[in-house]
Amino acid sequence: MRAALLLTALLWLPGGAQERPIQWLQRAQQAEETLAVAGVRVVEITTGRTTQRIEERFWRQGARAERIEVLAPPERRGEVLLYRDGRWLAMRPNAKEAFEMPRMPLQGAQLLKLAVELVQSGVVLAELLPDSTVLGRSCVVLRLMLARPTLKRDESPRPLFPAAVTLWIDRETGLPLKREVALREGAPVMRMELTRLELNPRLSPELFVPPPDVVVRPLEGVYATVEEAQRAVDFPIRTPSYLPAGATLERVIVQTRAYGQVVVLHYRTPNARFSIFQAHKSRPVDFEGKRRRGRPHAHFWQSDDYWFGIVGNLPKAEIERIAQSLGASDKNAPTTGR
Amino acid sequence: MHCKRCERQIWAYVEGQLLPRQAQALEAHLRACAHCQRQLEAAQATARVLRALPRHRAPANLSEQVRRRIAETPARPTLDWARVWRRVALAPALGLLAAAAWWGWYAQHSAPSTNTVAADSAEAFVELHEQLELADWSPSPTPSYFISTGYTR
Repeated sequence: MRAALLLTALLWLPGGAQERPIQWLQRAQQAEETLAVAGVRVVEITTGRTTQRIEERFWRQGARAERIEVLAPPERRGEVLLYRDGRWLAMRPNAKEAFEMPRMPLQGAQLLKLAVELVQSGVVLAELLPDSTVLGRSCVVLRLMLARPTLKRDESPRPLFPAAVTLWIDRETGLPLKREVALREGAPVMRMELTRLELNPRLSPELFVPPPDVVVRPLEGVYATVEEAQRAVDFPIRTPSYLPAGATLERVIVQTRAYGQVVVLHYRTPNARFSIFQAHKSRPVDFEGKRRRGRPHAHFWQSDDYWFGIVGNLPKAEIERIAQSLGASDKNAPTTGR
Repeated sequence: MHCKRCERQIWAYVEGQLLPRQAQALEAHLRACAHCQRQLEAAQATARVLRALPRHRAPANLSEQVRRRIAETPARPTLDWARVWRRVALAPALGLLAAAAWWGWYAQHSAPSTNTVAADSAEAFVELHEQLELADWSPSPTPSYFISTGYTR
């Protein structure tokens, strides 16, 4: 009897352990780090009323190297992104220049590693949903949720993780074939789905490097520091003298609009992200009324010749303090809340 | 969406004939493109002009008159049809012609210009921030690259 029980336990344990959410997450991380794959995927980012859709072919050698060729939107078709030795390069079709992209987001495997750590520390909860299929392949569906997704007004922000992440993990290989990320409850949402998959393709090393005659330059429009961005901007960039504890500048984006340049300082704190927008001698914003529930705080105002905006899921008081440090002179400027 | 497609859809948008998804895509493009915003304003102005044209009600017995004329002159029925309809439709047709000429002139003289101030909405900046946030959770770097450099260029 005892032997029969022991045998049953031995047979049951590996199967039962396999079905634990954290182990599927770890398996997905391992698959992303090690497997050679190619295919086509669609990424959609929906914010407010806007959906940006990207379709791309990709070739990936685990977490070591990746090549992406853009298929859509049509205006960007043919552009190539290359990853190798920790850096991303962008190339336009038939161009003799490649552009190094600063401060790119974490790779898929690194995101899954972060998720594993947060699940292990109890900040994020993981649960298995009923199985589904993607590309005709049987998938485990894993949902990750913040342990405390709802915040009261002006409560300290939660850890920097989306409110909900759903992964469709291929049972056979462990590869995530589909992902859905909701930043806050409901929206906005990022969706990624593979529409074609090739396992263990033959990947030549040349696939991941630009042709030898291509000159590599820094990418214009995105900068790691304000000083670098200042060289591309025709007015003095203002920076806040007050920042929340632990805030670091993630990147500076310079966009040219019909009315002039807009500078975006994108910051990250241990718990939140926020962006400071500024333009000079122009008023780019028509304020449109109240924000919908679940959207970040937004504050827009004019001071001297500058127009400013701050958007982020910081407490309202923090946003106002940052605004004051930039020179918030217009007391009637509209403020919006969650 | 690019400008050519936007221009093709602008009249259907003004007349409320686009599907919600198409309208959303077009509105997203309009928010980012001052040139197409001016095209939209011109189309809306033209539509207002057309709507403001005087309307002529057809006589109550029009169909009876038409049938009678057809019966009277069986050899040339199309000529009578044309004469009747030409009278009814002449004023709006002239108005349409004038509006189309003005629309063409306006569109030609409103090419993109860096001197023109076109306003972004606050919503557009909130969405840009949210896109930056979301792109960081994408397993592909392409959204982040496109948000930084513009989806269309």
